[in-house]
Amino acid sequence: MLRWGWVALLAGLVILAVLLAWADSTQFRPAFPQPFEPPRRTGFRPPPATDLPFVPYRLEFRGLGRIGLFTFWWFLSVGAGLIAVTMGALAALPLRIRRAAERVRPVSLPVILAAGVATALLGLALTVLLQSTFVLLSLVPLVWAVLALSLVVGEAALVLAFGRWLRTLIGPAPPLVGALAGLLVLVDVGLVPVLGLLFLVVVAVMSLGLAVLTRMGSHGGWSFEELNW
Amino acid sequence: MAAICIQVRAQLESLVDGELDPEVGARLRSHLADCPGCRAHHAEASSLPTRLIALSSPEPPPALVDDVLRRVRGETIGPLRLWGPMAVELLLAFVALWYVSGLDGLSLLVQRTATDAGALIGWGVGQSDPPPVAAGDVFLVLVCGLLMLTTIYHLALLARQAPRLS
Repeated sequence: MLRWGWVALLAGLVILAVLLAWADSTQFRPAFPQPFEPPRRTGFRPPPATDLPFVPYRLEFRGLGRIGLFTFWWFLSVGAGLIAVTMGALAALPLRIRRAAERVRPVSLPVILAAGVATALLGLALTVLLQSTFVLLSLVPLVWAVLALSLVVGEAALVLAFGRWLRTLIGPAPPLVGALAGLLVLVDVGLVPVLGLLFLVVVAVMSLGLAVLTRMGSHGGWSFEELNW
Repeated sequence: MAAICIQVRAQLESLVDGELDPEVGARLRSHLADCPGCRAHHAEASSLPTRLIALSSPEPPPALVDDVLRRVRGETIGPLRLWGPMAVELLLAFVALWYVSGLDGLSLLVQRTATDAGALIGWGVGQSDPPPVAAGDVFLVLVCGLLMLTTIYHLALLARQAPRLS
């Protein structure tokens, strides 16, 4: 049974996310770059709606408003996607992510950040080198996929560690609830104009660093003693 | 329950652990020989340590000795070792960024790489023509090669120095 503190925290964070998304798409819209105009489709005409003969009345779903970059639903869908992917990673790789999360301590944050910057630069350098050789160009998607996976695993470990810290403050709760609260905090702070983007970049870099330092949360880190038996 | 049984049962754990005087131990054992209730308690108390001894020891992590020695010696990462290689990395990254005309140039380079990689994969499955071979740039390759070596060295240093998982 969740304590009321957790329920209030989660509800408050969700409401804050909605308000921030609304403010970003209206009040703070000039702070975001202007997206390209989407190409107009001229050759397609939707077929006329036909009345269903056996249904006396029907409820129509007309979508969630204008679609485009930096709109209200765009902000919310990006946040929801981030939460869904991270929770999926937590469900798929719980042990590895837990091992990585155990490494997150205040004293180790600079090391994680340094490793993250080095990893990001390594990814860029590797991309340029593989592209230059041409023969190894087909490996570029693989490098990017590994980087993306590292990003997700590291970010899941960071929010799991943050959720654990929240549990010491608020009270006992399932680990996934703590991680969800951590994710909502991440989304909320990320929705703050300008500063939120910088915060997300720092978190992404630290996620990369954590995943690399722990070798995706493996048991022995970068020790290869396991190969010796 | 008799008073002697209460006294005996209070000392059963010490008897099992061998912490009693020989005289007291002998007196307790003589009582156990006559009292089935206390004997049952003694059997229960003695079974747990026996089971624990029978358990195999957990295998220590491979890096345990190195980690312990490192902590005993008080080895930590100094700021120079932590951020020193990063200065070289950032310098190389800025040189590369300047060479490709800033963030826009970098964005174009990444876009072209993605397009070429997609075309190459499409050619592999017979769906498109192979992409044209891009002209190599010796300076950019040299800078990126140096950047890669520096970052790998830096990461190896961080992974080795940072405390490992227990």
